[in-house]
Amino acid sequence: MDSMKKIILFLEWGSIAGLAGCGLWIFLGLPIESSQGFPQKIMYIHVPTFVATYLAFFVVFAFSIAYLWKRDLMYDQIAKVSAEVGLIFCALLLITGAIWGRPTWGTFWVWDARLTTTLLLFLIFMGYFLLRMSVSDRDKEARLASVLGIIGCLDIPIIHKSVEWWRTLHQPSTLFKVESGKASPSIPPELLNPLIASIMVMLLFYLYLLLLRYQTEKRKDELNQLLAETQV
Amino acid sequence: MIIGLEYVVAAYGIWVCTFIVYILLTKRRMKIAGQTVEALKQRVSDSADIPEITGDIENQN
Amino acid sequence: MKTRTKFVIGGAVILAVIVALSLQELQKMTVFFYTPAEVLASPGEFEDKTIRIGALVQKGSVDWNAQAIQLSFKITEDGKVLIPVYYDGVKPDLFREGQGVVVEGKMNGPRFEASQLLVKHSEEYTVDTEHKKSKEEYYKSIQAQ
Repeated sequence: MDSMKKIILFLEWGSIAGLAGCGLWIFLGLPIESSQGFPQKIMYIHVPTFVATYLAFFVVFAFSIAYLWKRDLMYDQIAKVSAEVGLIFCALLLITGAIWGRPTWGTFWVWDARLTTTLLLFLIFMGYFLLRMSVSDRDKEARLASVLGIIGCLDIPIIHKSVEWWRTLHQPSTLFKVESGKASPSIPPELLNPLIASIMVMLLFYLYLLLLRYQTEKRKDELNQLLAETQV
Repeated sequence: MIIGLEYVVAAYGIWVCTFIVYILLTKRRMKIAGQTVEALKQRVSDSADIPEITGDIENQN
Repeated sequence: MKTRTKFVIGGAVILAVIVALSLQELQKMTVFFYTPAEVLASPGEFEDKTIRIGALVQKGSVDWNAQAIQLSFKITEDGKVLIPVYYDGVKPDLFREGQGVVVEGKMNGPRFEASQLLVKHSEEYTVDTEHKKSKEEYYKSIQAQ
């Protein structure tokens, strides 16, 4: 338990320092992008946020399967806290996207495939937590939530491919652009490097949030167990 | 004045504020749960003492 | 426990409505916009219907009247099939010739009257290297002196 605390503390200061460093780099050390101008800086928060959202829900997916397989409530707990963190990232993804859309596209929101499927992901996981709240039996809750978590995560590849499958206002992927089988991000290195750094720091930050939330959850379990013991 | 500054400030500001609030709330929840656990443990050990005393009293009678 | 049940039921109902609305939009969104060629190929189908067209702004076709706040330009995909667009409104910051746009409005005879003009920017990001180069040359010229 003590080593867990140390890791969390390390991740906390590491990610805060990393985020601050990236902030300085983004605002003081970068040239202005030539077609969008200053609002292009929103990219450095929007893109890492979507990578973190993807990862958070991938963890939900993996640990939901692990729970259904092994029936260990620890896996369900990890899926639950990751879904909570992912939901916050997803909300911020929608918000930063809307703010970025206004000066570049000329609108906060359009019902195109990319935006609608992302909103759908957010709504599915709102439902996920309503489902968890409505079931009082712990094992039943874990079972149902795992199934919904797995189904909900299937939306992620749809979101990712939406800009290729359908006509959207949202532009295709810059970072994961593939040309003739090779990865070739369409962004010059001086704008790409800080983006990659921000993504790395954001993943560290996600890990920090996940462990912090997991620890809270364990503390709560301890409390519930004690309460049950004292009432008997 | 930089064109589009307000959008950038809003995007970064909302992001940072959201996580500050989230982290503080999580830590507070953890602290309260920890304090309750301590208090309960205290009470359990106290109540564990009581039956011994009553047992003694019964024996005396 | 009772308030929680109420909260869950209320939340579920709201969520169901939003999901239903999103799914309704989902059907429409598979065709978020038409291309100029598709619109011109079947004019009868699109007459008097609010539609979106996505295309590029034809170079040299932009006419911006700042006093009347009127913008007109031609949109095309290939430079051959053109639709003239009329838009009463402010020109967006990123509106440029050769830029991708999505216009929402109605066909009125051969012209498209737009009520909304959205800029569809590309996934390509660039830095003004010209500007940097001239700066470097400037420093070099100073050092040479």
